Amino acid sequence: MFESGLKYVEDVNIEAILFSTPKKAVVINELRHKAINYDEAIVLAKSYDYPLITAEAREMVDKLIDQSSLTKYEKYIFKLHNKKWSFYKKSAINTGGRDV
Amino acid sequence: MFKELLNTAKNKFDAHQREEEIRYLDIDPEEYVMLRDDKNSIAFELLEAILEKLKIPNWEVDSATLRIVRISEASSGRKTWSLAITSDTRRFHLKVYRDFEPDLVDIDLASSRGICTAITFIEKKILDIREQKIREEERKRLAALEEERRHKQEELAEILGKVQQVNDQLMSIYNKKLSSAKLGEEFLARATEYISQKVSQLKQEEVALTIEGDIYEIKERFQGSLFKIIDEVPCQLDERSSLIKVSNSFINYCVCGKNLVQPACEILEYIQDTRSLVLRYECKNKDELQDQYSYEKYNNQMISHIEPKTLSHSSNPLTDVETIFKRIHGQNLITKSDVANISLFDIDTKVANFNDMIKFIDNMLARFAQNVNLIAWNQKNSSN
Repeated sequence: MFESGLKYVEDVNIEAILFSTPKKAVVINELRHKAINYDEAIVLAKSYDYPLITAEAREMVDKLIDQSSLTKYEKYIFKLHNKKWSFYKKSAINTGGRDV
Repeated sequence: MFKELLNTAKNKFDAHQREEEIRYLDIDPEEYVMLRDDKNSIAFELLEAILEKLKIPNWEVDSATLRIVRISEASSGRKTWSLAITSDTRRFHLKVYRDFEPDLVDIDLASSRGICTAITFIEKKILDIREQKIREEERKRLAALEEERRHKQEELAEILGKVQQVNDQLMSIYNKKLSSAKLGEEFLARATEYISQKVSQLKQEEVALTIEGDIYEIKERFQGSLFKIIDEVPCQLDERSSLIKVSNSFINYCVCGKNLVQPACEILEYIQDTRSLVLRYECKNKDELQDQYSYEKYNNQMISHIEPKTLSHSSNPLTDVETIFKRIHGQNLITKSDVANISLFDIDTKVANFNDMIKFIDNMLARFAQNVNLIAWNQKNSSN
């Protein structure tokens, strides 16, 4: 059974990240790289395991969104962004989530 | 009671919650694309929540395409789409349907980052276009009213002009009447003076039809008929000279025959001797006279003398004639407008100036002069 090694990072203020910027794609990247240990997991994983890891990471971010104080419509919009956008390197977080 | 209050409070709380839920709700073009691609029921619900937040009528979500559309009421009452909002990942676009009334082809949504801004912008633009249309219609209506007012003003001015024209004409007629009355008075004064002058120059012709012989014999022979005739015609019998004077106007009605008054032309013919101013009458039918009178004795003696005689102004009967003439003249001199209507001796004429008046008076005086003896005699006898 595949073990991604992904887990939530403790003591991260999710609400602060969610409301840090109106750019939702940036918020999603922030959550991916700060609220879960995505970067550590991807380093240890084999390249063919990347899709599995990213899919699990999306699910984990969705859960964080669901647990937040956002309205259901905001949660839906954030999830759309989480669903659409690819994963980037941690250094590209502040570029608006777009390819560099 | 308490339950009602509780329900009311709960409803208010729910409404507040709903208000908070949609207060900051908005999506950008990219999110619009994403949720339309997602085709999730919550996407439809989200778009409806955005419209609920905006509270702008005539907008709804098309469940099939998940596009926000603006509806319009067709004449049949059927709801149709007038326009719809579409987008790519960078900006919103507007799809205009044929049912849309205003021309929105120029609306640019590039500056609208959120769909709420885009809808508000479109709605404002529609209102602007409709207000502009209303203003344009109002301007046309006012222009039409102004045109109508101007047209009525022109008509009024035209009517006033005609009224003024009529007024001017009336004033002109009035002034002409005034001047005509003055003209008539002037005519009358000058005409009276002129007539007086002319009448004073008139000459009465006295004609003597001389019948020589003893007066008693004449009387006997004519058996009183001569006197009767004398009573009826302007003639005089001078018993001392045995002359019968007959006015020239009645020479054609001379006596001839016993108890007869016949036109002289039937019995007598006269030869005018212009040199001696003597009219000599000869009997055309001597036999007729011979039957009753001794024609031989009287024939050659039936002559008349024309004796021109100038009369003074105060002499009779011309004074009477002059009076008659002036009275008739005064009664018949009627002025109208700028001409004077004159009626003398049943002859009507119009004169526009004093020269015409003089011509008319001269003409009348000429006729009058021809009959001056008759008129004078008539006046004399009628006064008796």
